[in-house]
Amino acid sequence: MDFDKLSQSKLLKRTAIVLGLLIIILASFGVGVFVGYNKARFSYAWSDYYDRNFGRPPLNDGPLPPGGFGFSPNDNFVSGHGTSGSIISVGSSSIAVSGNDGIERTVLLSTSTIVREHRGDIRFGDLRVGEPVVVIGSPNNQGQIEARFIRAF
Amino acid sequence: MGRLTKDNPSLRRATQADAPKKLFEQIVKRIRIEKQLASARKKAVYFSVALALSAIAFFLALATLRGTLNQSEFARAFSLVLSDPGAVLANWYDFALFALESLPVVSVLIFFAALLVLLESLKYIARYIGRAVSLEKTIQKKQVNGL
Repeated sequence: MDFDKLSQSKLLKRTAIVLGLLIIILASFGVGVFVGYNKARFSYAWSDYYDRNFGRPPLNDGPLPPGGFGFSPNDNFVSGHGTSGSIISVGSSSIAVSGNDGIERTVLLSTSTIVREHRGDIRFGDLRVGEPVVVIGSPNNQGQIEARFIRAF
Repeated sequence: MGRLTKDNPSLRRATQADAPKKLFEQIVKRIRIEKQLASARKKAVYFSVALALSAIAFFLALATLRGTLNQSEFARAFSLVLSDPGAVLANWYDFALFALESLPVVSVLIFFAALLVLLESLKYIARYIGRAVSLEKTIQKKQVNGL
């Protein structure tokens, strides 16, 4: 078998390109399904627990207001692995954040949560209403975000 | 001086004069070049129109993307990469999912598609203008050389 010819073969190159494209398409599809599943799960928990988390029904009809094709950030499921927006209330171990997407989320804080402002860490109690923040965390089954890192601006 | 009839020896000599051997070949070549030039000019015009339309589409897509990014949480999430790279690395899994969840995928796709069409139009317009210029130069050169 002539390996030089085989390595230069156009058929082999085309096959490699097609396989590469297939891998990229399938990987994108897999990531999309995974992200969509996570968002859908958090959205339904967020909707179910909204009354309990905020003491009133949602301002709009849940996480799926009318819209289409992603032109508006509000036309999708609610993201549960973080949020960015302004603090609308500060509780004993949680804060409520109104996101840039117009959706309110409850963010739970624990002793391991890092809260940072400028270059240094601050205490959770130093957070104030109206302060813009970015939160990274993981969603729980009650439609809340368990914060791991909060950056106040 | 005798009349110019077909039996006149000077006229006979004139009709028998041979055209340059390569004349036919040169005429055909010139016609081919002119055809290629016309085709390249026509394509350059088509792609100019395509370029103008794709430029409009690109700026519309850019404006849409900017608006969507401003409203979405992605821009703020991405700013953490610059301000708190350590925290992003420590919570890479949640951060990656947050970024993916907040990414305005459709606007980004439309923007990239518009950019692709713009660049392709630019590539083809450059190709056909280049070809037209080169063909015109070839014709000029031949005219200078008296061919």
